[in-house]
Amino acid sequence: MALLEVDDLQTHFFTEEGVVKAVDGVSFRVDRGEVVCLVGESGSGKSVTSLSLLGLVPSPPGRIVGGSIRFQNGETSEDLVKASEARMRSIRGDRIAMIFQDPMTSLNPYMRIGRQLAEVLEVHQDLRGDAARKRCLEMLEAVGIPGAASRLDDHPHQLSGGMRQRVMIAMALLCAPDLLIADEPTTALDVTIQAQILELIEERKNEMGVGVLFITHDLGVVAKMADRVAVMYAGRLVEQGSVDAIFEQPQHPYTEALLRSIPRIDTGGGRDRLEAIDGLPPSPANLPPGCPFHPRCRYAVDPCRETFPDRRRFDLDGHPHEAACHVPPEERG
Amino acid sequence: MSEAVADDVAVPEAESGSSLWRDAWRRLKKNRAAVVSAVILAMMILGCVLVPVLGSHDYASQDLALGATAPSGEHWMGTDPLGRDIMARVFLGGRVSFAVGVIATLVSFAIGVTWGGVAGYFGGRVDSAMMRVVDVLYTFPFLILVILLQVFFANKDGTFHHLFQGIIGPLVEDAADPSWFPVFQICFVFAALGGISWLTMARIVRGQVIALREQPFVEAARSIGVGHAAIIFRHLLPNALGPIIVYTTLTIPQIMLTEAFLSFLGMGTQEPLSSWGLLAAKGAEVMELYPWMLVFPAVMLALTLFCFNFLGDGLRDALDPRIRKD
Repeated sequence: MALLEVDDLQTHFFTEEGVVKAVDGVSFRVDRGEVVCLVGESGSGKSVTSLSLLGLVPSPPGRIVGGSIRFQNGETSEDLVKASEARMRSIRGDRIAMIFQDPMTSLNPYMRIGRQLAEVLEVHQDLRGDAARKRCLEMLEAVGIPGAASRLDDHPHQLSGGMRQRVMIAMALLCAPDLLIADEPTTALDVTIQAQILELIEERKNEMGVGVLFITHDLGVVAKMADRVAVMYAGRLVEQGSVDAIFEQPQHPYTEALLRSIPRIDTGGGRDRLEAIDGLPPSPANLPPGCPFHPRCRYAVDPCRETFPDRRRFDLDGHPHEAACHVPPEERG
Repeated sequence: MSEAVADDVAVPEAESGSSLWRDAWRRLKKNRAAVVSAVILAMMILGCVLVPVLGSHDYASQDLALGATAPSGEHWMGTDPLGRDIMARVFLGGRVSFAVGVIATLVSFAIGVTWGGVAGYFGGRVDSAMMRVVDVLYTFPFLILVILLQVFFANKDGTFHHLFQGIIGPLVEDAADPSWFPVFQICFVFAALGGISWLTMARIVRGQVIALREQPFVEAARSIGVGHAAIIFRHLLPNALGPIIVYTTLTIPQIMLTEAFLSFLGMGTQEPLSSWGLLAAKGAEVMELYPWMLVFPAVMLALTLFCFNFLGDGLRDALDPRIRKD
């Protein structure tokens, strides 16, 4: 039984310009102690997927219109799509926690670090006072904040970006959640700090056995962090599989194009020009018919313009893999 | 350990609260204009409390033989044509003016901040409905409404007077005594002014909250399971505290002025009680003959308005923790 099993999730936004299918039939799973990377360009629906898991899709205009999010909670599993707002509130921060992209603005500037951390314990465990403070202190030390005791009484502006992201991670882990959602947690940080934060997340994952859904557009981060990778394009999952298979034998033309567009140290040796993907990502309000990638796809054939391809499931090097493309790799010219 | 925890349940709230205020206090002390203003206001309030009690002259006792006299060793601020001591009347008037200003502002603060905070946070239809109420109330000529209410309802047989007597009935023995009528009139002014001045506060707070609610820290708070009320009152409103405090400190003098205007028209405070507005109105009638009757209450009023403005400015700076500690 997977920790998290998302099946055919559909989150749509009902705007004046029409229905925006930000997430349209996404299925994936996350197991305990595993890092699943959700990869895609801006606007591909990665963040909306993660907000859907927490029931935080801004509503109106957004709404989960279909699918299920089965989350294993102890012995039982429940569908978060059907859960009440009160139930979701008790899950957020306690069983499923989230780390955000920009640590500079994700902490309340008017609240001391200790108070903000303690709020999680207050909400979920009714823990206050010295006991809460002690737990916060331990957690700050666990995420590697030097002089943690004095930091508890600081305001967020007194900390650097990397420190603040450590505080956000501490806050997310305080209740020992089962699932951690990290929404581009290193995008706003310096490269050197990025590596530290990634190591911290990995270390905490190993220690606490938490499942991690890691959202990023940085394939370098994916290569470092992921056990499995799911690639999103225009609200759909186009391919998912083990990290090695994705990098070595991409099955979907979009994944292939993505990988060709990043510089690699082991091939080319700098002589070849980097390839860009032709065209622009489609507007989510106005998707092309059929496979949304076909206008940019070098292998596109007639069926691509008419229907979205079914997901093909198969084993690749002993790992389950799936891709949604009309053109099998062996038929690509 | 567990015992200590049980004993300290209420501590963190108070502790973090008091240290926020301690920091603010430390920053405020560095702002000279604000400190001077606070001291002047404190002295003024102290004077208003003590002078009518300790002073050697009663605010109402007349001395027609004496009449209007210029300031002297006996009457520091002079006397009015009825021979009443101006100083006693100015400080008694200060009591009324401060009370009206502060209480009506608290009323407007409570209603306005809650209303604007809720409307701004929930947005959408809730926001539209709540702000349309504010818009509609805005279109009423409120001063005229207050005057009409005052004329038609604030009389001895009116519903509001009976309501007032009902409220104070359990508290005092002589609720039916006519001496309570002027007090009733002042309370009516409190309620009326508070009821009209929350509209702008609601709009200001709503604007602030709308700007703040899209901030990632609000989403972060939601992502750890914090409820709506806690997000509004613990996360959003403290971040809007600067503009709220400034507007509050501007509301106090504004309400004091409105009270003065009502008194000037004979709708607010009634003789023999006094307020700065009433005294200034009386003084203005005779300013060429007895200028001290206008000067003292007018100076007190002006000084108070200045001080509230400086203090508000200082508080706004002091309450912003993003300003560097040094």
